[in-house]
Amino acid sequence: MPQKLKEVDVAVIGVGFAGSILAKELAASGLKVVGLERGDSRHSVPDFQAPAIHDELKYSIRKGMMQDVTREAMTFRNHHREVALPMRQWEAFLPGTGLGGCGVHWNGQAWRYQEADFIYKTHIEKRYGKKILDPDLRIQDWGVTYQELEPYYDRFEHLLGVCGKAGNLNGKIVSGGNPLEAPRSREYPNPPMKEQYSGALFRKAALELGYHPFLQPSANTTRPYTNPEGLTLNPCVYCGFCERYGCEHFAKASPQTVILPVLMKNPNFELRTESQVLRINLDCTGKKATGVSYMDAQGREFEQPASLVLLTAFALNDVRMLLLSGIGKPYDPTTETGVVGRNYAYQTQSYVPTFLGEDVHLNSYMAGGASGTVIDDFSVDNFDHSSLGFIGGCYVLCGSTGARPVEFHPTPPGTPRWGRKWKAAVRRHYNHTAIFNLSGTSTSMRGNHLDLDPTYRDAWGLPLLRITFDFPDNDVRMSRFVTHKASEIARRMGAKIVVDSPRTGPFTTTSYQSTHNTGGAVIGADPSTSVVNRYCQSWDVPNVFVVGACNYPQNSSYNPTGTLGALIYWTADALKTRYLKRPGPLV
Amino acid sequence: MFVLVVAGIIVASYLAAQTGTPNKSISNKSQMAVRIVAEGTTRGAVACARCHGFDGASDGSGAFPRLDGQSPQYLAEQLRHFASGARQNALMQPIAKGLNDDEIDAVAQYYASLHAVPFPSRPVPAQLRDRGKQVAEVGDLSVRVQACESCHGPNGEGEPISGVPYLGGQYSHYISVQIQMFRQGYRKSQQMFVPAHNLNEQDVLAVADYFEQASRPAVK
Amino acid sequence: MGEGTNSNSRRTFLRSTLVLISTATLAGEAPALLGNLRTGETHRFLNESERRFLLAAVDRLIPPDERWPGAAEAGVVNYIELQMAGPWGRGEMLYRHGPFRKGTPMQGYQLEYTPAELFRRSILAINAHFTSQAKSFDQLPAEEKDAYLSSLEKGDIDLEGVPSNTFFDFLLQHTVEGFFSDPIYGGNKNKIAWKMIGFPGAYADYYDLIDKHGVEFHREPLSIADRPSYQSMMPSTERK
Repeated sequence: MPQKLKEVDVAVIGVGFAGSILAKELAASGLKVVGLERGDSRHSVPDFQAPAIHDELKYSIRKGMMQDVTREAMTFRNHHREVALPMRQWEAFLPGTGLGGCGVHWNGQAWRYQEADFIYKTHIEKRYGKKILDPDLRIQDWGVTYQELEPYYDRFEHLLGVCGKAGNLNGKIVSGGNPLEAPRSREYPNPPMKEQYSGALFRKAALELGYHPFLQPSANTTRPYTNPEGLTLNPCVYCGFCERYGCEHFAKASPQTVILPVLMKNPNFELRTESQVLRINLDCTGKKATGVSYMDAQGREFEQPASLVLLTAFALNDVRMLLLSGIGKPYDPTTETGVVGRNYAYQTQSYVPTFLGEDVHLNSYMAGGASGTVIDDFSVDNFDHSSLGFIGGCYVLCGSTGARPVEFHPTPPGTPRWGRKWKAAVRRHYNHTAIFNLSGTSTSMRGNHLDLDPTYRDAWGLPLLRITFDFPDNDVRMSRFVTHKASEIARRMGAKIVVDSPRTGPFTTTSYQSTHNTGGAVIGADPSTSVVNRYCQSWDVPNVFVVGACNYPQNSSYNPTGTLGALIYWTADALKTRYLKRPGPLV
Repeated sequence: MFVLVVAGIIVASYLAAQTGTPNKSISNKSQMAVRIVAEGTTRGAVACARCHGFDGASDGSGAFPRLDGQSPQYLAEQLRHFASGARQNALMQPIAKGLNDDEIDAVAQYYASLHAVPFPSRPVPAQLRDRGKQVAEVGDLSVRVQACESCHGPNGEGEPISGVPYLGGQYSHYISVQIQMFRQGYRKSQQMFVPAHNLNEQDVLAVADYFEQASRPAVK
Repeated sequence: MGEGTNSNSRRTFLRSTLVLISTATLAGEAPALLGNLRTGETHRFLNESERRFLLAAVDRLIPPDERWPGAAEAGVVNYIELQMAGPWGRGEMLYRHGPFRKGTPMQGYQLEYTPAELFRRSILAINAHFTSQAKSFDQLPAEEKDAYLSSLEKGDIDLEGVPSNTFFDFLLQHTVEGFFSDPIYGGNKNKIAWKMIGFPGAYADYYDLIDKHGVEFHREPLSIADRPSYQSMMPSTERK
């Protein structure tokens, strides 16, 4: 018999960036908040200290910080006519776990989206007409605009101490930054990262070709910085162990460094780790959440009553939780009815391995997670697609986030996979190879969706999430075009060998691409095509709010976390100024 | 007399090591270094050996740092910082100003190449030493300070090329004072700013004592 | 370090010492982490015939050359043995609930074998194949070894239920891991692989060097084990 606990005002499912910030805002407003985190507690000291943290096998190869796949995997298929099978180990994407969530082991690449992203359907149809869209694509407007979110982007960036140089201040283009960015109301809190050698070479070539290079915005600080919560971060030392690792220097913006110490001090907040939430409980009407049920590490089940439930467990887990809890109608791609699981998208990554001369010592192992020189000229709709026959685009980045050798030992095409020649090629090219990283839009498609697997279960007996996904042909065409453009820059850099490597289908789970899984619980103005309204409030159960990249109707060219930060503070504001004053549907 | 003989041996072996190379300019630079260390320059640089010794071990009091085996990049950079005032030190500024670029590089290389026999350390209470080791190797969450060794290397051995100075074997008193210098702004460092501000007095002493006693690898 | 500098003089200094060689050396070999495992003779998992096959096979995947050792000398088989004897080999890091079905290549590994079982099974089949011909893989001349490995790689052979390309990819992946991972895992002996490519290892503060573009940086690589108190940490057979 599950033990019923004393009621609280708010139950937060998942204590990552979204959970931490929302919990802090609400606890500070006087509410009693419980944060339920399925993973362990962990902190910069001792858990992220060097040299132990710089263990490539443990963290990069064996995925030391990631969701325990033995207990909670996901299944995958490219198309609905296939049988989905479990991803028995994580490769293509790496869902995190533990206090701080992905915020602990992300790279700190902190972007905003474009204005057009939030009104994507309207914008594309207006500019190009509906005919540019392949019949199976399903792009949507968000129901909230960039301008509405701008102050919240600003707030999140100052919480993190994002490092960069503004390119567009209130509509005025200023030099030194990205002239193609959406307008920002003030300068970044900290100056940009130091430029790597590969980035400097790219910058020169990009300028010669008429593009507009700038340094990638970074949430790994460039100088001692005290954020508005009173917490101080240290400068990044470019150690080259960023993604998949915790930061030993208090330099990477993570919940641990930017907010948790403040949250933990508030007696209104209680953190419970190793607490696996099984479902959100609903009353007999199915329209009101009564709280959540969870299991602790000893296998005891608890019922935690709460007036308000915040689902902030990472995009994929959020969608699964909604499905397990019966909140919202599950999406059926054949009939195109239902909403939960609809508009699942990803990130269309491609690469241009660029082999430079052996006199060019790149030292790519010297890197911050957000190191890199970028051009935005081919992102989203920053260029004219009229005669191109696809929508979307990529930013093109040259730089490294490290050169850890188990993962990074590039060899030119034609090199055997093993043997004497392979070894010689690895030695020859290791310190002289740059890899362009192209991060592309991912357009939602009718058939790409999330639902519950009929066969495979987790350690608690609950169905795994099933992912049905392949790259839309639109995105494959887009990738071919932009990657080709990127290759021209590589050749201009004086590379000996340039490998134009666009993304092609089918999507495979066997090699890493990105953990930017988006959609499935999308935000929108129309309840027939969205799961949450513009305040991230469930249309079906108004005392449940879902905040994650699951809200995105399609994915932009950029990494999602910066935009998620804006949504988090936007939702916090809606909760404090609207919902708490009058609980109920806000739209 | 004995000291002079020892000094002479040190200088001679340094020169022998240098002039073993065929490069005449290195040899000239070594001789220049030896001269400056022993005599100073006519432009206001006092002989380095007066405070730092011919072997770089200084006088053992901790008032002057050990220089032997230190990163040459670091030594040269500090001299330039003294000269410009970026590192405020009334004693070292006129000395550093009295050296030109070549001379700075030369004396830096000179001391970097030496390996002095350290003065014996005074005993440290076990509790203090353990605390120092804890902060040095693991850091302190309550004051948001990372492990010193994450930048200063195992045993505080330093990283000569990027110019991270060694702490292992450095005088405890000197380390303590330098942390004060960082805290009060007489020395400026992006990386030392937070640790210098956040460590309390007791912990500063603890890490300083710990590092003085940490064994350091022999310099090649 | 990060203080206001005269960057011109710094560049001048660096130009005069263009190739920067670290003068620091280490106090000695990494401490004996694993007791009797230092010499690589573990006998924790592999039997003699498995060990013989692996030593020969990994040394073709990453062969020794005039200047640099190959995988065998680098301790890759020791690495593999420790991994197979530990949680990874036991399958404790894979989702292992059934039903097990053959999937598409995009769906990844779907066999019911743990990594240790996969190794054991495959090598048993390989050794049996050679025994039936009164041969032994390790006795073959290099070209024939390579030809056999290539045929495994193509997937032409069934190894007692394991497609040979699955086994080959597994073996290659573990060989690369054992070659390039931190020596605490039993491979990359004396950090030889890191020295070969110039990877400086687990101590990594590059704040002052990252913007010295083009500088050649040669440093004796540092392992996690180079921390003096490492010996008190748990043994790496339990390391995931």
